[in-house]
Amino acid sequence: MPIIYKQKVAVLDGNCEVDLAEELDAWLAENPKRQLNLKSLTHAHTAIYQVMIKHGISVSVWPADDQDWHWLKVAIDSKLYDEETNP
Amino acid sequence: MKTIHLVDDSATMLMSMEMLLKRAGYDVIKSENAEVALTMLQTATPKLIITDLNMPGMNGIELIKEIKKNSKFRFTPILMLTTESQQTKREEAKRAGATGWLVKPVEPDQLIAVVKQLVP
Amino acid sequence: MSELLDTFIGESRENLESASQELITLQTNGYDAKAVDTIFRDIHTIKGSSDLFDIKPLTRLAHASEDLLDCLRASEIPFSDELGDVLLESFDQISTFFDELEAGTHQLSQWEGVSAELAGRLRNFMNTTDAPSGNEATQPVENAVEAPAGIAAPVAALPETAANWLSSMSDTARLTLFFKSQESTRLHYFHYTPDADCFFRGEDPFNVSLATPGFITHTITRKSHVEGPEDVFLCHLDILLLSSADWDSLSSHFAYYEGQYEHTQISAEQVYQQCAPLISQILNEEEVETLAQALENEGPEQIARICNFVCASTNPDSAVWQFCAGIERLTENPAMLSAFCQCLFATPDTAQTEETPVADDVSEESIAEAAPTQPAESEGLSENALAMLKQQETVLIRLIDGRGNQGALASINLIVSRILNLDIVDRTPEDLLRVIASEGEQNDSQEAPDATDIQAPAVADTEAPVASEQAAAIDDVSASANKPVAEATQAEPAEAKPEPVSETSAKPAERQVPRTLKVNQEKIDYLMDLVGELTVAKNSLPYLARQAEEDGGSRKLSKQIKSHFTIVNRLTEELQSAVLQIRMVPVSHVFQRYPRLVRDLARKLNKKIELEMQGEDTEFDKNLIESLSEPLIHLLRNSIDHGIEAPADRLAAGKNESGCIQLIATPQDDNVVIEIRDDGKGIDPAKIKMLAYQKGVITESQLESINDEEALQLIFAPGFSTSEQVSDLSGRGVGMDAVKTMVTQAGGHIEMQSEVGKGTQFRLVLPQTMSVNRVMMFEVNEQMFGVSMDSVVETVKVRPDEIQQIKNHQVLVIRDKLVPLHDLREYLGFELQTQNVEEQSILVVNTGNGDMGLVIDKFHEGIDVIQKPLEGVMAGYSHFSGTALLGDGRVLLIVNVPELLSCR
Repeated sequence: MPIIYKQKVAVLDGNCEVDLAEELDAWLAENPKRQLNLKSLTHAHTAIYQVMIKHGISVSVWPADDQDWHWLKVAIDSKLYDEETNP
Repeated sequence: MKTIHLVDDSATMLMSMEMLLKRAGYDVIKSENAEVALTMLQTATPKLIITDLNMPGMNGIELIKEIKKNSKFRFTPILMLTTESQQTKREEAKRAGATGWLVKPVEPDQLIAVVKQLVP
Repeated sequence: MSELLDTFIGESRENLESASQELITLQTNGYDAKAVDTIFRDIHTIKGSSDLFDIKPLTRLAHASEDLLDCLRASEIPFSDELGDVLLESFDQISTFFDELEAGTHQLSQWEGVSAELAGRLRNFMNTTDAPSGNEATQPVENAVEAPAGIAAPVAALPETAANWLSSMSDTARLTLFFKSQESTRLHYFHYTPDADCFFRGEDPFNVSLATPGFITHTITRKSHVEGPEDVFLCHLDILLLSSADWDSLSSHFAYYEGQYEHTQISAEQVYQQCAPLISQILNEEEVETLAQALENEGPEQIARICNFVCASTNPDSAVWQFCAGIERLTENPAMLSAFCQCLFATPDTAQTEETPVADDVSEESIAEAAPTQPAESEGLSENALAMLKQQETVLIRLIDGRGNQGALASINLIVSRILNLDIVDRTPEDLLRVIASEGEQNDSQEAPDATDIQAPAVADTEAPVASEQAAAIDDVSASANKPVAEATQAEPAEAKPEPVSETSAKPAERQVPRTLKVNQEKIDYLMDLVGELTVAKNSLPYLARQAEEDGGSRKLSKQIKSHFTIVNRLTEELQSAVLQIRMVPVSHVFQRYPRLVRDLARKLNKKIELEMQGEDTEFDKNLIESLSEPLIHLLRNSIDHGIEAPADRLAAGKNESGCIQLIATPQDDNVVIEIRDDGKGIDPAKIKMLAYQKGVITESQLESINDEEALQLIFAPGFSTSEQVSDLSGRGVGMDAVKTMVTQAGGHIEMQSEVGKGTQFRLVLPQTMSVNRVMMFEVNEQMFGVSMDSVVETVKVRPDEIQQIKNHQVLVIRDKLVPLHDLREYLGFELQTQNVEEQSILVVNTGNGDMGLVIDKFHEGIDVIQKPLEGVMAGYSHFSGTALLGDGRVLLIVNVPELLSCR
């Protein structure tokens, strides 16, 4: 499903495919305070996760299922792309 | 709609894979050789392409190369059907841009498992 | 037989035929590489597809042929006539197999012998040591050994990345991992480093990792070297992954990603090592004191009780709670608990044992290596040897279970004998197991006094991990569903056979590019005729059904015939409709000539005209279109000739110099609407009136009385033609009335609107396809009528005296049946016939209420007509189901027999 972009929140719904990564990246780059709503997310391509991690995004709502999303939280929080913290 | 594009010169193979895939809830389009496949791909946007290796005319690997030239399919997973002994062909396929392969005879459970992974 | 099998046989026969032909040519003309390649491909296809069905003899024969052909085309062996003959014989045999499959007379047991014999002869040409089951025999041995292709050299210490990760984990996470490792005894650790450009190969690494069998957890980490960090479509991250599944499943899962990961087996001990400080810390906690003691001295039940107690009184989020809960779970498996305890209380050194490299090479050399030159006093076997023996055990257990390929037994005998330096004797699986077990015991007894059986838990010494390792391996292999079995035995037959196509409809919905065929139109017309004949022919079925019942006394048969008639009837109708569909072509077919026509005419008349066409894709029955062509051309000509003014005149009138004619085709329900519009000078009602009067089409009084609209419609009147304005272009006297007739005959109607000075619009509404009815024409009182051919049973001519009277009704006896007669003259309201005729024509019809005879004047032929419903005043009459236009302009009234007869 395509990502729905609102003012400050982007809603990821269903299965987010690789092509969507570019637009998401650009949108997040415009304003670092923007958040992601993952409530209805069922599946995302690596590229999408990569964008989330790159921007160290803030998630307003985590997915509703009880899969283990801990790994993603950790990855986002670790600021992996930050040269200073991860030389 | 989750469409899978099958390319094989054997009508039997096409039919049997189609049956399995449809039962698993996928849409299927079929082509009997590479040329027809490429024509269809001008308008179709399958989520996965499964192609045989040995076909009259363009073979599977050449087809994969052609498909990958088209940016519409740059991220599309492609599987190639090979026989047990064609190890080098599999590697060649990967180099050409395929995601993976399936060894003939393809076990139904395995086919569906792999497809579900590549087309969630 | 299933649809799939049908397709397979059909397709394969073709391939077989082609291969046989090529082969014969080859024998005649000599070796030709291309021909051999073609034959190979044909057989390769057959073999490939035959794998789908569980017909082993067929596959075996195809396989042998394929292999032989492969050798030929690789020039590994020479071609000889003899070889060709055997191949042909094989092809013939395969063909016979197909015959028997189709006839249902196949007997696989008989096929076995034939197939094996031929396959053997084929393989003889190949001169290889491959016995027919050669492939299969060696395979299970290779697969029996857990051969991790991507395995890195096992390290004593954890890989750095793994160690870092574990130490960075939270306490609870680490404990979870620890207990998981206790349960599974060894875990698999992957450092998955996807290629930067892997997305372009359709790969999705994070999800591959998440879907790993036995997934415990994973973490994302930066790549050591990042290229193109700005590009979102390159993969910049690596994954560290832990799984508790067996290596077989894992290597299978990662098959496509070889070269993009490093794999290490991690033992429970290694994990423990990472967790040791934490666990010590926990054990030192006050609450856990009793537990610590119990673990050292007490049995499982006591330990469990204590754990329970501690859990009940501790915060569930704490490490202590986690620990105790984990221990409690562990108590369910005394062996594992014991192993854990050993871990806990063993000296630190023992925890760092070497991983036993799992043997992955079963070549002769490795067997020789593994098999020690055993001195009399058994020194004990090397680790490699032991490992290999354990692997054989797994396969043997399977064999005993009845699974696995029995051909593996020979190989296992060989291996075991070599390793244990015994004589190679054909031992049964059970024997072999015993042999291995006793060796195992011997070895264990020397090195580990406590271990008495293979499944013993780890004991506190150097060899312990080996035994537990293998125990786990055996558990895994026999527990894990089908993977190793599948490889060894070439796919369980039951699953491999696809079920018959029960759910797919006859025409699976395919989104294929439509493929076209060029067909001679005559063939289609012939097809239409046949369909027409079929329509008539099927009508006799109900009649025969009645015959069966009345004459033959078979009610059952009658019912069956009737029910089949319903089917045939429906099929015929669908067939008719389908053939009509075939005749549908886009109007562009006809429209395409027009631009040229318009241009030429315009030029001749020195006018400037543009033709605009729309909706050329709209589809139309081909015949209809052709018949429309003339009227359309006529209308166009009229427009050009009389409609559009000369450029000067147009300018003077304030219009564009160039006139515009629009030709628009639009589908509308079941019809097609064709409009011709021009922006010319329009039709002047006054002029028309005048002309009409002059031609005698209207009277003087009408000249006064009719209004403009009615006047315009006069152009359609017969006898009215614009002959006064005839130029050599629109000559031919095709008047508008002819146009109207043509249109009406096609089942449509035509409308016209016009405004003086503005332009004229013609609107033709036509049915998209002709709904063709076949009617039988007959004459009554010199008027033509028709009756649907469906209801016609037969036509008879009888002498008047053959007609009998029963209770005031006229009846006829036809073949011992009473057929009531009805005089249509009467019903149709004509004068009754007074003169005597020699012969009376009787049309016998049946409309579901039994046969009846219609007395008519004359028979005429049956024709195809397009039936139009009654309009206007006539619509209320149900005696007629419609009208049709005959070629000569006469109108045919089509009789609705039951209605007609029911009301007098």
